[in-house]
Amino acid sequence: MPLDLEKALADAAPGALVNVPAGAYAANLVIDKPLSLVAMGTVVLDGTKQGPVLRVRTDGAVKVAGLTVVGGRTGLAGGGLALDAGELELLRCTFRFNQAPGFGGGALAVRGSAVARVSQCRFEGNTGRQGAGVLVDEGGKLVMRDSLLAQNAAFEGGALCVKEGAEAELLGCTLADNRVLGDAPRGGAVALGGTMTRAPKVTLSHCVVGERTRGASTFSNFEAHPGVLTLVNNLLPEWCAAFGGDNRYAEAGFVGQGTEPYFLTKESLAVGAAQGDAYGPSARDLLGRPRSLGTRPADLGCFALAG
Amino acid sequence: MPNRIGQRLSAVLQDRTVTRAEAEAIVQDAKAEKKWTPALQDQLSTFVMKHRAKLDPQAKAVLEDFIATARPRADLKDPLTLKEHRTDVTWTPVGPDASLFVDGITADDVMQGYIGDCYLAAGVASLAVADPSLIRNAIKDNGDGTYTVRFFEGVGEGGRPKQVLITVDDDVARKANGEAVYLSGRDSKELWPGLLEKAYAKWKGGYERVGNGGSASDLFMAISGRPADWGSVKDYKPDALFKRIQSTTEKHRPVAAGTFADNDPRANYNGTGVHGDHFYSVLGASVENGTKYVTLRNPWGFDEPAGNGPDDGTFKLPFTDFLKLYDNIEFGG
Repeated sequence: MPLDLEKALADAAPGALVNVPAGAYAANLVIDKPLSLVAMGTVVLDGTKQGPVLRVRTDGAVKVAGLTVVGGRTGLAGGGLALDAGELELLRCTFRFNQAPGFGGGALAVRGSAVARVSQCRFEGNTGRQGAGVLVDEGGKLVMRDSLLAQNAAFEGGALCVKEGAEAELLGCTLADNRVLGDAPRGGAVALGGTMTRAPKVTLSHCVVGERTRGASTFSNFEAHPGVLTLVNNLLPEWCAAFGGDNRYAEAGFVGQGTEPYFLTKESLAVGAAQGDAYGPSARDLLGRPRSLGTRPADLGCFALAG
Repeated sequence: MPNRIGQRLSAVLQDRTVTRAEAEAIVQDAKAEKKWTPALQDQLSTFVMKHRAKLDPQAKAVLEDFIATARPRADLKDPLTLKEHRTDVTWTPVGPDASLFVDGITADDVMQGYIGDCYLAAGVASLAVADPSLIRNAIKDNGDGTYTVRFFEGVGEGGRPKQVLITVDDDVARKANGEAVYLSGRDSKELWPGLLEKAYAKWKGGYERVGNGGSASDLFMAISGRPADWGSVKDYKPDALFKRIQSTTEKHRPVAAGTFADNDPRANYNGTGVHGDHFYSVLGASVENGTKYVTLRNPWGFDEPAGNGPDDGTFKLPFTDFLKLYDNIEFGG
């Protein structure tokens, strides 16, 4: 008999570890206490379009690891996971085909005082009005590393939308094939939107933004109330060359075939392009492989060299 | 003096006495100005002081009376962020008989405009019903045709919410046929609904920014300074949800609810009188003859299920139908 997840969460003591046996679950869960929810094998949580798959609101720390989150849908924010309050560690999770058509954060919304630390996760094929992959809004904070945001679609911020007073820091991520649609599309990969009183902050470093990223512009920073966009040592599409700095501007050089279409080819300028200590020899890519070979510096993006 | 008043003043400044008829013509020109600004007021006052000797006593009285009674109105020059959403409109003040509030503050005052911010319009109407004093206290009349709206920022973010003051004038965007484009009062002379939306839009970066999805709870927090709560209707057990609606509205806290998207297989809106992909104010919950009802309001100010009296957008829906037709619900704190 499969685990009753709702009951398991309700029964769990604060700080407990809830192991989820392998299997597929229909789930619209609320986590309102600090705990860890960890997949034991392949675990698929399907929101069956009945609401967010996971909703986290606690004054403590929550860890979610190894889950595949699909089919979430909400008219508000956070189709796959709505992080309303608390600190969330999201590790090796996949968010696929989640929707937030009325607001944003198709896969993940981080709002208010919430902080999300995301590592080695995939956000693929999600949709939402603002930030189809991730929406960070109203003071929320996102730290993401070694993760993939691909093939998400929004009106504003295909992969990521960061709004008033919110902050996002992406390190060693790959953003590719995201897109924006509608009458006033903004930010195929990333959109920043401040208000008169609060500006968002976004920092991308050691990331690859794929040449196939589509939209009105790859990065959109609302002119009237711009945020602070910092781009450090990324590989960006050639049409972003105006950003200058220490970024590289060329096609990302994805293999584009097989089950991992965002592997880097040998010719990619992302190969061996890491700087500083951010990605040393021990760094791993999304598949857990070493990011560098021998003494060569690590590669940019979330996938190391193909092969 | 390049403006019309200046031209008129120059024309009458011959080496002779200014007549009452000429003074009345000046006043007519002044009243015809789109906005009687402090600068125009100064211009006319200076003219009267400087050329007092040339004014016929009756002309002087006409001009002084106008200066004393005309209410100068600042022109804030609506920022580009407000104007860029619609370029096919003209921005004009409501007029001399405009009033911030007409017969108090009610949900019925609120009429959503031609912009996709139903969450905001519904939220405004919910606040009007729950606690009109929140709205009354949030809007300050500066006495010069401008109004300052107080919002709270950072509610629920851990620290102390910060006050944000946004000043707007009462210029209203109208189509060629005179119809208001954005949120407006049912009585076109009533300003508060439009001012609230205009200030919110100005704060957030324009009508485009607020017309592209959002949540009513953000508005609730911004007006009240208190944290809000939101979730899926199905997050609740039906009885618990009904009680929550009842207790929240009875505590004079705002509630709004959103329907499923039009193409969502979970709900079929055909023949229900309720629209998909839309937000409604939740005004209360009641039990009548053993049946539970929720009172809702369409922020359009019209269009409701049949059999609910005058088509003013307000209607009672059996709670069982509410559970089928509504996707999410937001509670103000």
